[in-house]
Amino acid sequence: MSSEGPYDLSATLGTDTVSPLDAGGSLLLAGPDEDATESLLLGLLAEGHDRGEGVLAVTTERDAETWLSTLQDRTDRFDGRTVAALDCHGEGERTEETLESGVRVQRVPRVDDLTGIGIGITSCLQALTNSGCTSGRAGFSSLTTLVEKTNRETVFKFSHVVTARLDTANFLGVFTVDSGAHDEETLQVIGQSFDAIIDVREDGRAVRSRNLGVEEAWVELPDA
Amino acid sequence: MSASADAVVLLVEDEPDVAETYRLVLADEYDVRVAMDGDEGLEKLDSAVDVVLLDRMMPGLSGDEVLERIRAEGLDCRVAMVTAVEPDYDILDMGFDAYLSKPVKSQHLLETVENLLERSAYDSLLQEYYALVEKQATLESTKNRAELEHSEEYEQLREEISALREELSDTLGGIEDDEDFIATIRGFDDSDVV
Repeated sequence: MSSEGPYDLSATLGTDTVSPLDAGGSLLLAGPDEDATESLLLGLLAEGHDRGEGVLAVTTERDAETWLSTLQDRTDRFDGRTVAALDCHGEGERTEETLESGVRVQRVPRVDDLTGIGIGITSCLQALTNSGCTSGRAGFSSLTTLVEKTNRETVFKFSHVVTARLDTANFLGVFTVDSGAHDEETLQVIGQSFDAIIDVREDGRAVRSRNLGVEEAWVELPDA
Repeated sequence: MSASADAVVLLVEDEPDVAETYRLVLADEYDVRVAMDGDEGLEKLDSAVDVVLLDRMMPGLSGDEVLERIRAEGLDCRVAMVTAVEPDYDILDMGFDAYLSKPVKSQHLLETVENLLERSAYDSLLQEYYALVEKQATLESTKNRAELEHSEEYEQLREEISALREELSDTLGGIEDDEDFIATIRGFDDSDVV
């Protein structure tokens, strides 16, 4: 049902941009254009899905349905039972439902309800485990909303704990952040919770890795 | 947490036999205080207390009310609710850190107290880790790469950060357990409110 071993992200991110991450590793995608950054995130999740891995999507800016339909468009043969979504964008109460496609959707009305998000992630991981997923990829889009509603210290700690939990569940964590919305120091602080930071160019066509706060050369992405 | 010899556990339990049973189980490892009801519990509560075991159903102040007071006073202790029925995660959402279903087995009691102390240790480590990361980010944004490469302070900071990261991943089994995970996150919500 699922693949073992390190995640080779070269098909989506281009060779040499990021060395293969172990199952349970974590990656921060930072870019000034949120659509471009999110598109790359979706590409990474779709790739995992097509390899039979579980997919967990946490959305703070769009509703889960919009997000899921974009994901579905990018997969070869969509299997909703291996997909779970946590929608932190809407209003109302915490709810959970299973869509016709088989996707399990949790809703947490407030993005600063971190406890609710924690419970939602737990519940999504359980649903995926019940569907037989022993590894997978989790996307979180985006941390910027969270920084705006809380503060960078909280977001740092939250990211650390969530990536640790994903790690023990054998999930690769891919989080996004709007690099134009925060100062350099805040980006450095948040990035420290992750195994790797990747800058996504404004046009979404190239990426580069960051090291010691210094940018490497841009690497053009392979055609989707 | 290895320094558990100094840890203080407060038992709030209205049934004397039950309270004595818990006390005997915990007395070898911890400094145990016993209170027979909610009011006495609040009297015996101070900043030295690390863990409170709170019976939910008591005459007078209920466990929920005692918890509310503890949280309102901002005391930094972990609270486990002792209950006759098995609750769900909503218990954690209410501000409890763990629950114990009656009858409580000795081994489970010890494990719960140990686990709650380990969570406190985790929080402290995470706080320390954040402080160092912030310091590193400040250095990185004020010095250029060449300066950083020759900075002993920076080198040392990076070593400390990497050691702490290691230690964090060894604490609480790297947050493997759902209850540890949710309770740790809930702590961030609490600190936001203050």
